[in-house]
Amino acid sequence: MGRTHTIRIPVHGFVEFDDWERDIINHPVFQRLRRIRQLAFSEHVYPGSVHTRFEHSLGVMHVASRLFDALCRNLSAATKEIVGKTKADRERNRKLLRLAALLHDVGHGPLSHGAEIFAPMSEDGTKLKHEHFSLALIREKMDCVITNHSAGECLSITAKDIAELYQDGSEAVTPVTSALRSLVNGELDADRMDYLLRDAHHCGVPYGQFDLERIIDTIRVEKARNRESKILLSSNGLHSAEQLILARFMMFVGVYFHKTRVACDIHSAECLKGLLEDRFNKPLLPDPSTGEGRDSFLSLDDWTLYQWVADSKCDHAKALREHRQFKRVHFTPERPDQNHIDDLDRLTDILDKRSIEYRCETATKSWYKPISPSSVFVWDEDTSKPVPLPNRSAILAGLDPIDQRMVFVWPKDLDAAKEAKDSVLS
Amino acid sequence: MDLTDKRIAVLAELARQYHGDGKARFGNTAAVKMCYFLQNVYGVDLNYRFSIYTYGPFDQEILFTKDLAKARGILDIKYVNGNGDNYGYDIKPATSPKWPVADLNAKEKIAIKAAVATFSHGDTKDLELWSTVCFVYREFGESGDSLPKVVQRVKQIKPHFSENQIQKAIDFLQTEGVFIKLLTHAA
Repeated sequence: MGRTHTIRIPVHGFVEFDDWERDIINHPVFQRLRRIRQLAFSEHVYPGSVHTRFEHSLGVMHVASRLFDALCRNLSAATKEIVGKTKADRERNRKLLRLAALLHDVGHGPLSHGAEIFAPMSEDGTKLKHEHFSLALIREKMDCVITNHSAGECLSITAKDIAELYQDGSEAVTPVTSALRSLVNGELDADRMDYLLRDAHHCGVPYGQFDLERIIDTIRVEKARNRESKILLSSNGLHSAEQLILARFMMFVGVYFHKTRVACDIHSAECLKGLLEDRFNKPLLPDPSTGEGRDSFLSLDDWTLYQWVADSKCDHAKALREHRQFKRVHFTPERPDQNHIDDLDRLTDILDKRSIEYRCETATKSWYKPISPSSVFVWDEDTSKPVPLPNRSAILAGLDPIDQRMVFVWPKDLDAAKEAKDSVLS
Repeated sequence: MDLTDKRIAVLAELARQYHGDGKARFGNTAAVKMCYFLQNVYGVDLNYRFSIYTYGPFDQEILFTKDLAKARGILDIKYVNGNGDNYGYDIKPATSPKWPVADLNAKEKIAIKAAVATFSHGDTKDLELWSTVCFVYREFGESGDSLPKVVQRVKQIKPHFSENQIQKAIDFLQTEGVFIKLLTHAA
């Protein structure tokens, strides 16, 4: 029996881990997450939001374990096999889930999601996501502390098993993997539950809060079509689910799509592009399918980007250094109609004609989209079927996605841009 | 054309064409799988990033696009709670959209028509199997022994389908010329 270690993190307090997990946490690939901030340059809006993926990953492991333990308590005879038929099965599945939760973000590049626009193409012609980088790093760089670890041998858990839980899909989908996968990457997953509370805590905003204890108390798993399973909430978890979705919605409006944060995202993307061009002669993250590519990728983190920002003479780096970022000259309502879009087009046309540099950003392209309420289900006791939340919640039935657009210009051009705006929008 | 507008236009056109005799309900699974076929078999550039998930290839962005289309009054979406397994979403074109739907080009319209003609008679289970077979087939590409490998691999990923069902799905996709189109657009 190994030792139990603890580390104290904001939001959850003491998080426990064992010797095996400590060896994984101490691995350089995981330690790199100390150098990747969770919210990129959001500290230009909320100075406290300088927390890292390292802290978040520990939090996700903690929440995932609590969700799994709750599922084990809330099982019916029909769903008992989903979390594991025997005590040993349950122990293995719990550990597998903890490791997958712990490692889910190791593939993040500098600026977290911000780096993904520079990801190379996959075989199907679409850009790789950070999950693809995580898969490659877990399999190729961390096998020594997973598959080849003595504790790993005991529980027969391999790096490949962990990779399976990130939608790799090369093995059979069973009710067990389907449930575990949903807890790591689903609508009611440990990742969202942790980052909402954590981001709200570090930003110092009150609206990212929701009743995690109630969610944990009411979470359950049911058999779905074929051999798969569905994570949902008991009917008495309805209001805590409403809270969770509203919290996500408010965080999107107040933090993730805040105008200054969006402006900083534009500058930081330009800086990352410059860093990649300087290092690799092209604005592209290294290919994670090669050994050289993985090593090059691991050499990139927020520290290397900050150094580039500190040294660079480019205007975008200067804007970040001096907190003189793009200014928002125009924005549509959160749910614009066609007239608002026509206005926007007229404005960008005249900015073009007057040679005023601008950027138009849209909420629909953000990495941090709010949760779709229609994808979260509660159990209907009368019909013994899952029902989508909006069918039971009048509040969520009217919660449409945000479709806002914003136009930004350099501070020096703000007056000219406002004048242009006044000339076309009466 | 803005990518989001195009994605919405494709969903709206699918919803319009999907209703009629012999066609299954156009629900979430059908929306996701038809987008998969359009992108990978018919070469319509939707820039979705599919990975194998519950019920086959999936991208969460498709469900977001669906919600956005509903918010713009372009799609009318209801949850059907019928008997047995007959429950899920029913997606239809709205009668009076609040936003104009973007114009798709002739090639895209033809692709949607062809995809609906080929796949809309399938239920969710058929769509899951056909799209999974396509997903796996792309991994192996065109080689003499790729089809037996596809059967094994699909059976491995989706053990609830029998080898006979998988073989029938392969036969159907071959007859419809889907594999050739898949490789054309994978290049």
